[in-house]
Amino acid sequence: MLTMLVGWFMDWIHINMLFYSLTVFAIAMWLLRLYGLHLITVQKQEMAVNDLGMELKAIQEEKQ
Amino acid sequence: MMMFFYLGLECTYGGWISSFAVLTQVANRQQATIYPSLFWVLMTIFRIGLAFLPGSGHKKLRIQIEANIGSGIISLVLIYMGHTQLACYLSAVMFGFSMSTIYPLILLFPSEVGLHTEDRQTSNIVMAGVIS
Repeated sequence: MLTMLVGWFMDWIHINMLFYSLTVFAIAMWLLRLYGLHLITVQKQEMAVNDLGMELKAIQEEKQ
Repeated sequence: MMMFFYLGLECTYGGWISSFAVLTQVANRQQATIYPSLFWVLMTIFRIGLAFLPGSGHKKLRIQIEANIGSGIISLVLIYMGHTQLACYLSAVMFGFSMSTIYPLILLFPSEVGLHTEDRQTSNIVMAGVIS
């Protein structure tokens, strides 16, 4: 799909759109990797908070 | 999405570089076949070579994506300086290196960062590449 799109860009806009598109795709990959790492960090923090909450609850129940 | 863009990048370069060379008149139809051949051969060589290089997959992925961005920018600069033929040769080498192990590293990425992935999710990653 992307290959076909770039072919159209090269035909309609400019032949150099090949290298522009390649650079844009690479930048998109770089940004997606950063976004993925951010999501994973948030998910891990939420899991850690949940674990702490469960531990606290268990301790409180033991005390009661 | 990373796989979608990666395979877009790989197939676009491998598929269009020969047309680019013909249309910019740096090579005729027979000579233009050298660029995709060089790209695919170097990609295979680097894929084998980088497998033995120490370092985490996570770090290798970052370096290769950054090398991809660098390759695109260097190629564009060379084209605007009028060295289109050099840009074609050099881009085949640079993209051959920088795309070599991205496919397996993207598949490895979730488990590298500590996520448990199921078969269905892995097949979704592959499907994203197929759509691209």
